[in-house]
Amino acid sequence: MTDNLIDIRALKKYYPVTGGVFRRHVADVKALDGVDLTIRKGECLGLVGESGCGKTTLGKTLMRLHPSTEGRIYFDTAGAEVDAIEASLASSDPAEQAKAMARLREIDLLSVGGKRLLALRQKLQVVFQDPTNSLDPRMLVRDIVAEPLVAQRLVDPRHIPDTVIELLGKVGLTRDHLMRYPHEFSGGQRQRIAVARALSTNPRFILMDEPTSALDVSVQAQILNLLKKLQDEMELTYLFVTHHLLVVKYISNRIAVMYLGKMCEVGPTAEIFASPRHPYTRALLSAIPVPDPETKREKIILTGDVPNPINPPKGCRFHPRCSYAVERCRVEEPLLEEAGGKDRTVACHRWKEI
Amino acid sequence: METTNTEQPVAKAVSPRFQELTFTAKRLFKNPLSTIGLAIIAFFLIIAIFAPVICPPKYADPFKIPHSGWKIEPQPPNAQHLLGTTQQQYDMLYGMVWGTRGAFKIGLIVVGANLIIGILLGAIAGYFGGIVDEVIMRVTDVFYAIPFLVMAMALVVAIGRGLTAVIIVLIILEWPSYTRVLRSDILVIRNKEYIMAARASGSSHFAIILRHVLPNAMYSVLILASLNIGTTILTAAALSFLGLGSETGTADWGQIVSMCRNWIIGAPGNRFAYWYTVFIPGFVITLFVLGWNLLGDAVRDVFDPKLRRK
Repeated sequence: MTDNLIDIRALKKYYPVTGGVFRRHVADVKALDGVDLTIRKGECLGLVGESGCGKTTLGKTLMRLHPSTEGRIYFDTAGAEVDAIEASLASSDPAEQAKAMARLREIDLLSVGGKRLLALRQKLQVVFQDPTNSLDPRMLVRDIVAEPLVAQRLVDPRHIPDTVIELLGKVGLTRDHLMRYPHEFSGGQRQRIAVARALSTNPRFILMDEPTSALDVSVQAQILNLLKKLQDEMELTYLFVTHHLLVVKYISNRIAVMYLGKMCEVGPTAEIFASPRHPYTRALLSAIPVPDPETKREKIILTGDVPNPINPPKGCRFHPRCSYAVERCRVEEPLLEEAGGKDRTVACHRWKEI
Repeated sequence: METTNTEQPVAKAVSPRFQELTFTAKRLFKNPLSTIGLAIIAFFLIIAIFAPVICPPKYADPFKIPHSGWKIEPQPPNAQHLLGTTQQQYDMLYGMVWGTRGAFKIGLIVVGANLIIGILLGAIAGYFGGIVDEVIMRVTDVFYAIPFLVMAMALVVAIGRGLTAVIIVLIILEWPSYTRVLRSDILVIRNKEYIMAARASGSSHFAIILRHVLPNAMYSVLILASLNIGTTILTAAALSFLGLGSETGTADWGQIVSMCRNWIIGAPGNRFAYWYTVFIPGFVITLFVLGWNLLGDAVRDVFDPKLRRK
């Protein structure tokens, strides 16, 4: 069994809603409500779902940009140890639990702090959606790319210009770009700068938060190819968050589909595209335009809006919009379960019948 | 783009930061009004610097205006007193020249101190938010709730009259506007992705405030400061006029205006008999404030991000 680079267990992120004069806590926006996900070493995992389903929140919680409410994230921990800790947590023996908690404080990505967190930040980097927003307009490219190096004191200050030039070379820019401001660049070039910054600490994992959504289609392809090339060269692992299914199909090894703060379906890209099991995945895939006017396809049109995550539907979260919903779906919440074929999981009661 | 030579060393002949600066300066001088403002301020600056040359002080304290005799009636400009005299024969020219130093002192000390306090509190309130923000903002609300001049007068009386008291009081009363402006700008910048990228890079909060937040949020506060120098001088002059500032005979514009109070209406039959005693200090104050305001407008035009590029 291959070890996972990142193992997310029961991750919850609630945003409190306050009301009244005294700012009482009245409700929670359940952006992430018990997410389990594993990211394997060297793969590119595509995370898809419609707006507001929690994709970006998942990414930001993973990067420790938002505090999490509950859950555990193991980074580069041996599978056996993860299983042992999870078993201790689930056990009823308080001593066992305490031991597991103590160990978690040392390795859990969500609870470490100080120097340990800084050391983890070196291995985890992020590329944001819109490079006009993610690059400080008043900093030179040299300072932007070198920022993680300076913050983590990874490189002797005298070597920073050379290091930055090397990084710029990796993303297809040259030393001529070193002493310029971000506004002097095109969108694609800016995204290259953001990628160079993410590469600067020589990370193991990069969170790609819709890195191509703000770019022209022609430039999107260039950036995707660059990311693929870098992944091979530097043995990187990606979590590729996007709502663009074809981008995911092109770059990902596996796909995770999210709906309203929960995972619906996880599996290898080719298999999910060939035979989606979850009704929501089917609806998503049927929405991909086919560039051939002759093809007639069955389109699944979802009715209604995404329910309010403050008060998600009971049972299966997708049931109000699902054409296959039965009484059981309204009451009982489906769990992710093995669903035919190698490492495919789906959270649906009726996947066998559909 | 100007250099296509790839062998070019990394450090260009002209650093890009310097280029930004020249770009800013060019924009500043493009506008005729801002040039006028700069010229006025430069003029006053020269007078302030060369005050000992233009009007050599007579006493150990140079801010004490020399006076010839105790005659009550002001004298019009003449060979001995180029700008005439005030009541009790204080030399008007001396008062104006050394008053320039006083005005710069008040304006720069008050605005400088306000900038420091405002930036410190505004950055803390805006960046960290939460309960700290709440406390700081409610304090500024309290300051806004009390009429400015009334509060200023009360405080000056409490501290004890004098120019130092006026400076202290203006510092106490004016910082809330800086804090508010900076906080509101930081609230916008705080959620930008480059702040998150900096945090993901492992930068500390202090480094983020210093390197990302303040450089991007400073501009409104700088504009406010440059516009406020003029207003501060006016308020200080008003307090002096009300008799709360410096003592009689001090080279302070507000004080000299206050000395002309009895002569504003002129003599029976000749309303403008003592015009110089009103006009000269009034004109000087107006010119000084106008200069700062024009400069402040120019600073705003230059720094406004919407106008800056394109």
